[in-house]
Amino acid sequence: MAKIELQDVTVDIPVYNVRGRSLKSMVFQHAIGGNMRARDRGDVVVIRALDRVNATFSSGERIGLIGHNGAGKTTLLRVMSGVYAPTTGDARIEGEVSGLTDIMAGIDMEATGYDNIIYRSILLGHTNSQAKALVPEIEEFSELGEYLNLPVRTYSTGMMLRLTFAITTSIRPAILLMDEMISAGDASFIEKARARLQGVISNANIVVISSHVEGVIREFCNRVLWMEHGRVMMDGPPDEVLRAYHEAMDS
Amino acid sequence: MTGYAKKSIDDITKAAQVWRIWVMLGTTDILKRYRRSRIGPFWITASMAVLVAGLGIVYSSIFVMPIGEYLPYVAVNFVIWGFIAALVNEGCTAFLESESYMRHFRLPKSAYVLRVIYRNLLLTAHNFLIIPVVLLVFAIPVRPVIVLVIPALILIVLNGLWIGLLLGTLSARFRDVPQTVQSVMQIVFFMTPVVFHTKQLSPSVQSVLDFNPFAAFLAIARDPLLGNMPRAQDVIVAVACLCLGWLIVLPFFGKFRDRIVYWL
Repeated sequence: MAKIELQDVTVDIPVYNVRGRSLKSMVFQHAIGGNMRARDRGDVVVIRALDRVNATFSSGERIGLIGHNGAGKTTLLRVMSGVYAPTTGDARIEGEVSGLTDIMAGIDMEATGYDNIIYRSILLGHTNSQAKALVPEIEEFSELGEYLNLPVRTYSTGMMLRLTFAITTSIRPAILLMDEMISAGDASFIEKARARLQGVISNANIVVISSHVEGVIREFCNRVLWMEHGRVMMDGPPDEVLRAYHEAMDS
Repeated sequence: MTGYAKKSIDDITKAAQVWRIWVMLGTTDILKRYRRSRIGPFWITASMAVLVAGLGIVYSSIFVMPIGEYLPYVAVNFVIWGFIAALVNEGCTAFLESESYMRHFRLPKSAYVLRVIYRNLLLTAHNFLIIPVVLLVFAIPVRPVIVLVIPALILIVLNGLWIGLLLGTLSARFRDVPQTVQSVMQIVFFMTPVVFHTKQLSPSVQSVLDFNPFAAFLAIARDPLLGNMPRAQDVIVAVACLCLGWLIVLPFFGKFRDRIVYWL
């Protein structure tokens, strides 16, 4: 059984400028003290990316995340994937998580498509032989054919997407996290990806999709979280939340 | 305090379990560096061989030492020193260079330091090839004591791990640390008996060098390779560094581990 429990999750992301990161300025800050310190503190801008988010997701739920750019959707996905530890609050994640949040992560541009299948599968926790066993399926789905023998740097964006999408969806995680990305492929790929996602989603216990495309949310999700300024504005069935979201957008 | 130390131990244990990942990352790091080159990683061996031959010939005459004694000494020193210096220098960038992985995959953070260590073990293995050649050419007798190089390397690696965790974390937060460490390591190189021999120094300078832990690390691995028993005091210094280092790093790393990804 998979479960995600978020309790008062707050994430503050510090943004350092050049001075804030330098050891010298830190040393001088202490040497000078007083006003300088107060002023230098201002060099570090802290962004509250998530503000006391409470939510519990359990098996069978397909959650859609909506909201403006910078509303905290990606940060929330990162918390759920275990990459970001909450600054305060508690995030409990039970179950194996796999994220489809960055198609380029862990891709070696100079290596061939085949090599990258192995690398990325190992990164996702497979053994070498398990990774090799995935190859035929990925070959077939990605339709990259001979291109798999070429360095990945020769691929177009769409081809990259086909490859990484195929790899990431070839494993069957209990919790699947996705950041809007399907839209980068061409029409025939989107059709294929949709069919495959249905398969993966029906296998996964919990799915969280962040998307601006309402169609995607309506098709895949049975619950929607509307985020704004790092807070959860509304949490409920897709129709209700989407209606409220549109009303707020129009006004 | 103990809670943080436990967090560190937990992270390192988990990292050991996902060895496949850092072995893969470390290997591809080297493949990447030498991709499309004909002799690949053996460039490392070749350039080390050229360096050692050149240094051996020139410096043995500067220091008025028989080449048969000096060249093997400098060859072994360079191979070991290269390993030690790389662990320190590249330990700084362990997290910085792994940014895209850290943002995407939930892996124990120590795995990225182990990646650096593994990568440098592979590089050093290539360099090591010149040692048997040198020993053979200069007819240095191979004594059973040579097996002590293995515990010595283990001691160096275990020290390298805490150094990587410490410097990697500091470097993620303060971007001057890698540069500072690099300059310091350059100075340390000149103050460590790598090219010169301790016995060429005046006794007072010699006793100062006894406080250089890098000299101890170098000596414990070099001495057995050249058929000598490592000095007890060097072993003690190395073990003391190990204990002291981990005593500091366990609580330190546990405290800041979760912040690293925010600093990248």
